[in-house]
Amino acid sequence: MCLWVYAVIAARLRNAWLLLASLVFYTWGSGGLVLLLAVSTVVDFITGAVVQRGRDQGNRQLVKLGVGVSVATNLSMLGYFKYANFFVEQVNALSIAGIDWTEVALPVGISFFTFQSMSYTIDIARGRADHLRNPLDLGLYVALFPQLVAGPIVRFHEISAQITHRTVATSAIANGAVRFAHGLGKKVVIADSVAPIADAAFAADDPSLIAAWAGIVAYTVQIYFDFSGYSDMAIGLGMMLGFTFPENFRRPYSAVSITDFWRRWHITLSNWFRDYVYIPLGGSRATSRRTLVNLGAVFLLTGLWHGANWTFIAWGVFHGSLLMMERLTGQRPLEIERPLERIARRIVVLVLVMVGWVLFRAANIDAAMTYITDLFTPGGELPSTLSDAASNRAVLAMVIGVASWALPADLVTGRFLIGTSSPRTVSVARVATVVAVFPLALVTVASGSFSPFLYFQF
Amino acid sequence: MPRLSRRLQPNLDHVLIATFACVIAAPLVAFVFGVRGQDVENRARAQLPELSASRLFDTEVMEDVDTFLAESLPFRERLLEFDARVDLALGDSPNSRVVLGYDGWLFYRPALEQICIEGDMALLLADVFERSQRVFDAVDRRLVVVAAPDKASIYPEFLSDEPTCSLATAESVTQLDSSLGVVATWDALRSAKEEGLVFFKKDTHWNSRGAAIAAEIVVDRIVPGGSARGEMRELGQKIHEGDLTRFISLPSSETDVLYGGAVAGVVHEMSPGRVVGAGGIQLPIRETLYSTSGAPSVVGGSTLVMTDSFGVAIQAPLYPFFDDVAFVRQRSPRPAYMWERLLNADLTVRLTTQRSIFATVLRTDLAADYALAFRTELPEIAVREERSNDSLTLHVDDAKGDAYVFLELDDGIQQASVTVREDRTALPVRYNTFELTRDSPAMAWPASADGVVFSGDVDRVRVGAVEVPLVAVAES
Repeated sequence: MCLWVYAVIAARLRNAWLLLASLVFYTWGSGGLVLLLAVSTVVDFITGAVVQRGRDQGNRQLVKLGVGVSVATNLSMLGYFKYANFFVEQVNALSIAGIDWTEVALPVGISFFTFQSMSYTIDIARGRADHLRNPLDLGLYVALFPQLVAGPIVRFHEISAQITHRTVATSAIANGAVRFAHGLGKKVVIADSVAPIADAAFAADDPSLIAAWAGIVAYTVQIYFDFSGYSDMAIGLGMMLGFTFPENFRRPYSAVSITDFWRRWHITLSNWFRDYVYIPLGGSRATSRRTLVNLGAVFLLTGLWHGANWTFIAWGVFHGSLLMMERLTGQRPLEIERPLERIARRIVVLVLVMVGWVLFRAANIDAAMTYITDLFTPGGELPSTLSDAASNRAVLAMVIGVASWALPADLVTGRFLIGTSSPRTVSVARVATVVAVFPLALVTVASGSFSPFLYFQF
Repeated sequence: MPRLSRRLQPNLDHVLIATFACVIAAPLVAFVFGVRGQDVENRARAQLPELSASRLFDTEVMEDVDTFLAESLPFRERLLEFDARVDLALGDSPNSRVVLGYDGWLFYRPALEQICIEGDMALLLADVFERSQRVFDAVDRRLVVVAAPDKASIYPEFLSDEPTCSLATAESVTQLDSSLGVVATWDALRSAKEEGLVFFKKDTHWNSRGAAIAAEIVVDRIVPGGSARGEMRELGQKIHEGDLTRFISLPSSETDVLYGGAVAGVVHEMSPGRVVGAGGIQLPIRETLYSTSGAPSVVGGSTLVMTDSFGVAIQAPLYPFFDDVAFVRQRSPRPAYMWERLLNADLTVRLTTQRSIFATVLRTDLAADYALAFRTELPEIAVREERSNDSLTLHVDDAKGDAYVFLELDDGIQQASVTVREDRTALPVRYNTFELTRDSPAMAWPASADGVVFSGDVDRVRVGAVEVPLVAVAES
């Protein structure tokens, strides 16, 4: 309905309508926590104005003040709502002090919208964009519903012009529809289908080697298709609204090094940390030792950003360590010409990434270590729950997911489908996506709510 | 590769947009015009919650709205059907609780995964039935327990994996038959299946023919040779929708040839279900009463037949053989309104489905439930209480027969939750929790030498104990 109204209302009302729709969307899922969006927006509007004035006047102190307040406010919100429970839990576990604490609810998407919000003032400070005159436009940037809860993280300078001036062409709407349908299919038809296999394997007490690998392969497929599917849906919706969001995934499982992996996985998060943390710390221009420290710090924060649990921190440290080792050894290629070497490197990187996913998926560090051990130790048993979970549909989805790893390293299917030069094959694929994949995905969504009783319940 | 011509590209874009818009908009437009998805889940659909400004920020309300929209989605049953067909095309069962057998047969997975009643558990089952018989003997009434089989134990050949537990339980119960008055129907149904179906292919239940065969066995157990004094007649045909087909979102039907019993010269009047009250609470229960006004039928006196859903098909073949019979759709004797019925019946026929034997006979101790129902007619004995923190241990020190302790809601108390520690090592459970309400205000448990340990709301109940004399069980 939002799209229908957007298409027919006057252009000058579109931002207001989108903002309203976005706030309704957020309120629907998070209730009164929508006020956090408002707080973040108000603070950043004011600080943005301060930063703009400071920049215009050449007053670096004012610029720093504005950016400082914006970052402090957003990080405080993020720190409180996302990490306070974890912090208190650790303190209480150490028996340092018995803190009487009522758990705080986690607002949906807070990691995403606070990062976007901070990029507003930072980009103004850096001269990459100008302060928005209309606070509703800033509200729209922060709350825009297609990418509010799961990205891509859109930095302000990437979209600033589009906030105030954008057009919606027929081809963009068509492309957006295809992209959205493609994303929904990835999420619902593939990711959700393989999820039970991963769930069963990770829940098993003593999975066999085969069961453990089946579980982590399933999770590797699931997390990519789920996350990239959401990104595709966001990008597709954005297109239908006249926005061009940045790509977030570029065949990450085709990476030939961990360095390469992080240029393909959650690209917008990597770019955010690179531009706003790594480079200000000195990036690669510092001494070798300092560069390694910067790298480690960034990935520690990357892990922490994903969740308040030691497993996420461990995952971030794991990847940071691998990156540091690649930098130390000089082994961080982005392309390999020799096919056999390319295949071998891809396999090694994939295995390392999968080990990392164990940390990401496990409930705690102990469970993660046990699972990693199970991956490389014969024995255990094939859990009956895994056999039950491995329906033909789930296995087929997993086969499709794994087969996609063999596609060319730069073939991003979402972009392929919306190519502006359209060979007939692409056109057939586009039609098939909207006519077949999209309805199939909706069917799968509808069946998710099916909960029958054998005998009538009254 | 040929490029799409510039003339065709815009048309293709319009087609894509139109298709996308239609797929999204069709359900919405239909919803606005009052079209709703059909009830396909054997339960009441979620209703739209009350919406108000004060609840605008309540995420639970929004979740309820989501659920309402999802379940009311127009054409939902078509989407579910399509999804089910995709599953079937891939060789999967569309519902994890339904197992696809050969030749289009469907089986209910929980029935296949039932607890195996064999070995020590079978001995325990025999003990429960024996004690149940003693309760009825002590109050000068009669009990016949009829075991209705699970489909898998009659038609295992249509399953790829042998239903070992189902078959083991069937064997255990069949062996109880001759000594404890338990009517096992497996042998008769397995013989009869050679000449025609005794179960539906796509339903969990026996068909009318299977039920009629079981009815004859029941009558013959109550009155030897009794079934020969009447007959089973074909009453016509009915289209029966398989309950398992609804489970997999692909409703389909089978033809059921209906059978009804008849005894020459006997005419019955039927009274439909009525609302009954217990403690002032009105309960809808499924009850049908049949009585004769003229010549007597085969089984005299008043009979209470307690059944579950398997009782639906057996009613027509069975009732003509009884003078005065009430069919009550109730598995447990524990609700208070059942006590009056049990007390008023000379004969109780308890139809128990195989897969529910563990839950309704063993786990809750059927004999104790009967003792509770008849406690006004059983001798009371002294019970000694031992309380500590929130636990209560009841001891019966001077029992000479089967002793049962019971807990009952105190006056003015509406609800209590009590848990009894399970000391019967043959059972794979450690505790049993009973929710006591005004409809079901009491529970009973066999007394034991070490005392019966209760926990939970033990301060909201009063206690007591009854005894059942240890006499030899008469052949039922």
